[in-house]
Amino acid sequence: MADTAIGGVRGARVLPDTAARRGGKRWQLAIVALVIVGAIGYLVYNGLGTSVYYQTVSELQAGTAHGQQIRLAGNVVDGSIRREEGSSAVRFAVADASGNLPVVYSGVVPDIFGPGIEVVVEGKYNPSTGFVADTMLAKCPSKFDTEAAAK
Amino acid sequence: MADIGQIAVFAAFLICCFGVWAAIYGGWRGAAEFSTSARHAVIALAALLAAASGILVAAFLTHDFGVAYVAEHSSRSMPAIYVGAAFYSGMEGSLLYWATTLGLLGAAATLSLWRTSHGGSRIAAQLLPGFIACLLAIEAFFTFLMAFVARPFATNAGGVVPPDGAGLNPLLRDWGMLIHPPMLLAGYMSWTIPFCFAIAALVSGRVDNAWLPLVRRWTLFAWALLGFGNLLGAWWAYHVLGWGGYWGWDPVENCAIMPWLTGTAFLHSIQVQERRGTLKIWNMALVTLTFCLAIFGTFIVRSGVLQSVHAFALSSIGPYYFAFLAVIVIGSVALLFWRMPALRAERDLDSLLSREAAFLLNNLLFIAVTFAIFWGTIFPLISEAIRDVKVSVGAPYFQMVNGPILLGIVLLMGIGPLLPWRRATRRQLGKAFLVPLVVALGLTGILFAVGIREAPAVVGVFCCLFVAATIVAEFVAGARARRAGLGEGYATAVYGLLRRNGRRYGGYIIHLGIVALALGVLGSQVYQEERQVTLAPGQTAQIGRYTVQLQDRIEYVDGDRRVDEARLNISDGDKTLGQMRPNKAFYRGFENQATTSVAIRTNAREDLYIVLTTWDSKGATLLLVVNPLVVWLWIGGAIVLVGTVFTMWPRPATSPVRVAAPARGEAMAYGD
Repeated sequence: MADTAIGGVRGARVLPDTAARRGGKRWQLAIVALVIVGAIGYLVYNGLGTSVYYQTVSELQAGTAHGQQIRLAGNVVDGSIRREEGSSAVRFAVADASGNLPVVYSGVVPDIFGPGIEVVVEGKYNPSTGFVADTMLAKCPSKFDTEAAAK
Repeated sequence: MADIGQIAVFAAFLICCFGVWAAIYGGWRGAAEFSTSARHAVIALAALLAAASGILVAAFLTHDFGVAYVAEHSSRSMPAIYVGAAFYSGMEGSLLYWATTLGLLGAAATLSLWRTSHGGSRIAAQLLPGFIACLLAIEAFFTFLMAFVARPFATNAGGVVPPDGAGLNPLLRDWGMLIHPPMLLAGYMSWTIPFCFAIAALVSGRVDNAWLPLVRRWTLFAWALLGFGNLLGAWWAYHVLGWGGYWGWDPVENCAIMPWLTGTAFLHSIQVQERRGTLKIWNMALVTLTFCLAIFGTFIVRSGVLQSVHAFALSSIGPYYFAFLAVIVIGSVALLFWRMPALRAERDLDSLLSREAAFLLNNLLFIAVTFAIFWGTIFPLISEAIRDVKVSVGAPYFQMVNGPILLGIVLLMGIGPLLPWRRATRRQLGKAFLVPLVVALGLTGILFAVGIREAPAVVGVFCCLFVAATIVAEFVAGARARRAGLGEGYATAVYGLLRRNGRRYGGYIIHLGIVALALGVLGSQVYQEERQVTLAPGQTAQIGRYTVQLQDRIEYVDGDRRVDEARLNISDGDKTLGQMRPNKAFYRGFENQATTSVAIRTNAREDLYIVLTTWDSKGATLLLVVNPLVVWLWIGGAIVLVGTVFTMWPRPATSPVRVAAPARGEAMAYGD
């Protein structure tokens, strides 16, 4: 590319435009770019440390991750939903292929939450208290579709 | 009727195939009648698709439940106005919507290009065949899907005609929902036009800078539409979904913002090519990347490939989309290699302290933020595939990584436009930046003194103020020059700047809008206050400076919904501010699904945002949120739109007295 470059500044201040000078600019540019790319790589690497692991019910019960922030995905068990009077806490059981687990969650319940709905809860598991969730996401019965059409 | 719709779609596919061949043959052999024929094919395609869309709308309005799509997405009790929401609420309908809007926009672009070539523009004539061929090839893909794979006019299995349809999910019964998805889909769609221009330039070999002025307005249009679609999505999430925020870094949201980011990079880097004749390969790559991300986004909103609360069951059209994307990428890369010799840069970078270097840095940061979002979005898939470990990458990752990069982009917005092309001297730098720097530092100091102390807020506010100060300084300098030269008042002078040099000053207005947006994001991210309370009637709770008192609970029936509402009295100290009424509604047919309606009290400083969570014998459980500066997101969006209109507005035809550019070096001349 350098061969075809029509370098140099026309006009009052004509500067010598040698290959060496152009090369120097390229080096500067490469170094600046490298520093920025390195910084961003560091940010990404660091940021991924905040990712939260999914576990299944049986993995949770086998118990290596007590006290860690964990995600659990499954369906709300029919007839398991109980609301606690005087607080926003809701208790229910989540079932996946490996079993089911009691969950307590307090906070804003998604509009479509209900029996059989697929949910993702995030929180900590403790054998004595069950799964204490601080976040709950409900999978929309396909966002734009109807209840009847959703499986 | 539905049969006619399906025939129209099938005919549209055949016309695309014919048009692609006619455009290529006509362009290759210079056969004028074939080129004319190809152009007519574009118009016929637009007409056929518009007719098919009309028939689908008619099927919805006449409740033709024999059509599976109509039966699945509407019901007799649905208000007629939501027929629009029902139209694009499923895969088949959104494909038809995409193809139709592209048909219409493509016809407009083709005709405008044809008229330009008729007016004697050689470049327009050279681009036309490639443009039409590319446009129709893309349309061929979508009409193929609708003709054979996801047929919008398919009848129910066994020809059953149910007495009523399944109805539309109540979550969609909101006017924000009526305009946000079509706007977003249209934003994705409209990036097809710049991509077709780029392919046409590559095919015709006219890869010099002559195609850029032709593509500029279409690019700005696509950019504004996609940006607006994103902002409307945020608006909808904030006002309707009721979790207190406007952006959740959900995969669907990430896929919508990525093409907008690369598109923004493209809008900036084509200015470098226009001005300095460099970055040609880069620009081709950027527009291709943007188009691919737009197609990917279109696909993602309609599939369950990524773990998402929006996810669908994996659709039947997935493999087709990936094949289509593969063809685009391989085809574009092959064309790029073929034209590589002609795409060499005309000159080299002169200095790292120059406008073009700032543009390079801007592009680097936009690509970086896109990459970071992309990586965070697909990391769960990679982790699952390679390590067999399921993880979720959430908002903390995106905030930690994107926050600093976006702040860097904001800061560049203040620096770049004031740097001269080629090389800046120290004197120029001092002259351009001293006043804005002092103003921004002073104001940040005052804010620090009144209690804005958190590091991200201080740095962010300083960047925003600095950018705003440079823009104001530019307007003042420009208006002074016009006053001196033309004797205009300040208001007329500013309007004159926007009209005479809309590219530059309209761009500044856009930057100003982005600053407002950035302030809104900063305020709500750093200073959000949130608490959850349970109140019995008569009890009060405090959040921020507000006192919230539950007056009582009202239940009433409104049309086909039952509403359960909390009446809250809001006061600030002794001052009564009025009543807020968050509620939950239950629609007929969806009795188990509550639809939350958020109550929001907005002023320039902050939003008081209240969600009714549950009612029980102890009273109402409420989520109370104070979101500072959120209104500036919407105001910023509106400012960006106004700026975009000025950048696209044609210059007045007559050339009046040229106003001498104020002495700030070459930087001032850009945009003429």
